[in-house]
Amino acid sequence: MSGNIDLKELQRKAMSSFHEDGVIDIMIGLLGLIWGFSAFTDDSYMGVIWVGVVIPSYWWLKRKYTIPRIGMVRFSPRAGGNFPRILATGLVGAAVAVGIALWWGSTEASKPFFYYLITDYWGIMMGLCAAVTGAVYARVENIPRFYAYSALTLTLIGSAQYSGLPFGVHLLALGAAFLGYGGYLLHRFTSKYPVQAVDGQDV
Amino acid sequence: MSEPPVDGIDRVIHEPARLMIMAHLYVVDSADFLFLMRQTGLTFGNLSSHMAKLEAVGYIEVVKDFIERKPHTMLRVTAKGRRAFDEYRHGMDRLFKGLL
Repeated sequence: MSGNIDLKELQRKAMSSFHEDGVIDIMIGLLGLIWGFSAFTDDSYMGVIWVGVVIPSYWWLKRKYTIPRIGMVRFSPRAGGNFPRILATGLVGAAVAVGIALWWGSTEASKPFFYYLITDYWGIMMGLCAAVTGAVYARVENIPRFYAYSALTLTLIGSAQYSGLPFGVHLLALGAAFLGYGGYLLHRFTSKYPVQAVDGQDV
Repeated sequence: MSEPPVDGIDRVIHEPARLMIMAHLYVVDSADFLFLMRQTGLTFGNLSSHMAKLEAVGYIEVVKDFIERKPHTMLRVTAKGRRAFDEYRHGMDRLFKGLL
């Protein structure tokens, strides 16, 4: 036990240990693969199938691998988590940005600018949005590897426009990268933490 | 020189293991027994006995949570426990300032 108690550090440690298992990486990888495959089909339901696949899979993996090894924890804003505040700020910021874009796009003077930006640089714009989201997630959840994922996302999505390959291929590559590294993390996690039986533990 | 306010220090929280438990539970909403064992490095028996003391004074509570519709026993710091922990931190802060 250390002689110094730093509450911020304890919270950071609790958050990072709960995400050390790579489950969130696997889920995002799965999402990338689903969206990648959906880009090759005309079946629009493929794009939204993730709600029915990814979320239950996340908790299934958590229950099977994480909770029996390191236990379960829930975070809250009262306990010092700043996720809701950042999420609310992000949502408000996005709503304002969309509002301004719609308003600005509707005037003749600025329409060519947005048209030019979105149609000519759609890959970079999409990549930037995804990368910023990833970076915010890395910051909020204290998972540094998501900064690297953000850079990879920006590279893969941003280059989709210029590579000559179908967009779906880039999504599949991104999904495979997340899935592969998540699988490695999960393997490392299960080796590091053996299943620990505790009396009175329900799950 | 005024005496440091040692008498105001909560002795339930002041014990090192219980202080660690309270600190770990303070920064989250709730956690289960295994998570606390992993985070604090305490053994099952040690953790159990300290948890019992903290529960007896009303600083922590046992709550039934559900994960994928299955019940799971979680531990949470009560409002009383949060107040006591805050007061303990401020009390210790005043104590060390008084020692300077």
